[in-house]
Amino acid sequence: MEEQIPLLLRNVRITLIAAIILAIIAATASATSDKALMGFTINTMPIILFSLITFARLSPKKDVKSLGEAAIQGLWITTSLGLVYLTLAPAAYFALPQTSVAVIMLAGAITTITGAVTLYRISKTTGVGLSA
Amino acid sequence: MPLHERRTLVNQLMVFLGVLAVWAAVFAGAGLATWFGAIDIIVVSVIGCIILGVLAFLTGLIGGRTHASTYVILRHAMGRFGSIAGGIIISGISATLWFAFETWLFGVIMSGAFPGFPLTEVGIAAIWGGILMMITAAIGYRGISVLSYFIVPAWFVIITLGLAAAIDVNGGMDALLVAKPPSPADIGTGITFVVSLYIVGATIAPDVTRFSRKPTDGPIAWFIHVVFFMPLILAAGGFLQLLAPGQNLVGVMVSLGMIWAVLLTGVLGQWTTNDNNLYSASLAWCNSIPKIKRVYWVLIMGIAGTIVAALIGFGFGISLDALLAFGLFLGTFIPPFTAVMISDYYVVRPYILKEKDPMTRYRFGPGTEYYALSWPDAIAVIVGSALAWYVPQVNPAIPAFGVGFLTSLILHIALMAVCAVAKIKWGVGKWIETPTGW
Repeated sequence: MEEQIPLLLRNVRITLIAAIILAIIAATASATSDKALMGFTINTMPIILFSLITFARLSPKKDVKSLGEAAIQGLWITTSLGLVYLTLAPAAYFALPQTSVAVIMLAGAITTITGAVTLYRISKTTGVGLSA
Repeated sequence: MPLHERRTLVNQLMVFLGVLAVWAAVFAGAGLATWFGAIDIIVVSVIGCIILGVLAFLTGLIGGRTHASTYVILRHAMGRFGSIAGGIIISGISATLWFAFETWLFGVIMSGAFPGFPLTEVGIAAIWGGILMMITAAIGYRGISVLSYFIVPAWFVIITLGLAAAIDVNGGMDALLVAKPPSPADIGTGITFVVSLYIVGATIAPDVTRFSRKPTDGPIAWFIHVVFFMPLILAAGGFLQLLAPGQNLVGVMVSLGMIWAVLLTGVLGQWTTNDNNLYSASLAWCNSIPKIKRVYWVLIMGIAGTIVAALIGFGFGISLDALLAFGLFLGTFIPPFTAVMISDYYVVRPYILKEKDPMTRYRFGPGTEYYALSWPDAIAVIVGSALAWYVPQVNPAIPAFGVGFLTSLILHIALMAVCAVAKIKWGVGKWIETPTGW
């Protein structure tokens, strides 16, 4: 299992970088409405924050189980927060143009799907449960 | 407890936040707005949550040190039959009632999300919602509990955004600060209500903290989630109710176009969390009466809970009165059990029975002898519960949970001290643990 650590680290890091980029794209797309910008920033900030914290916790010196736990705990939050973009972007309250709605929902969908797939793979590789 | 099954502080914090992330907490906050203005909602929420944090830290630390569940811990404090009775009251009955209330809330959420349809009328939706939850609890819940876990971070952000939007469209902070509650009540009533909302959770905290890697991991996680997160949720529900009396956050969020967020957090979240209540209730009954299989207990308690939920739905509709009464009921009758757990481990054992080492104070395993019943504990619980029910009726300013908790705590310590000094036997009968743990 030890030989899988570099691959595991790479997958998690790519997913986290993607989550940060998608969160910035979603925040930028929401800038067409003040309410949306304010609202979605509340979602964007923790995605960036927890992605960076998880990055810092992913030390190659750790054992597979510790790495799995750190990755699952971090990805669990960013993956879940992708659902916020997906479900709230169409809300009439935010009064966003259709293009912005589509961009934010797409960002949310990609964050959630890639996160869920990576979570599943890590859990399977490391043997750490998804509720780690 | 095998080492590989032990969990970190972060992990346990996630588990506890998952328990808290339910619409019942938001509706409970709305219940506070029946009695208090915005500032008082914050005051009673913070005081109540700090009390809960301290109580659960103490009960949770017993679990962290002994790695035993609540009902097993109660064997030492209350005797074998006392622990069975405690298990049935604390979890068997209370968790079933929580199932009923969250099933009713499912009906409320469905009626708010899809108003005007016969199948989404509160009582009807509670019936089919209860049946769905019962089925998932009966066939095993591992997969669905992962789904529940997955929704938690999104739940907190969605509720925050929903509340901010709701305050914005209902007059903003200025309107909130001058809003008055319809039936003002004493601070003590509010604190009792807040404590009662989660006193069952605080009492059964060892069920989760027993998996702690370090004894304090779980208790600290419990303290953090209840002191820093629970007041926010209560305030969310309370503030909205003050600004828009008669409306609930579901209806307001739907009117703002947030229906997908409501369906995710309210329907899927409610369903995945509530079947857990039924699962816990069935386990408690199964531990007490193992001759009946767990799946049958799920069905029995599920049907009972669904009938209660439907009756509340048909009788109260979306009114919060039933929730308030339920909260006060738990706050009256559960704290005495918490008190004897805490007093037995932290006072009676080390200072009266001279069992000083906290790690070996409670021993478990095949061959361990327990009393069938500890009479000082039984008296302390009965007297504490009776006074907790009676005193607030005479003086509503005195919190019921405080009366019940302190009476049981003091009475238990006093009776045990008398037994020790006068060399009176404090236990009745004998029970030896079998290799199966029974």
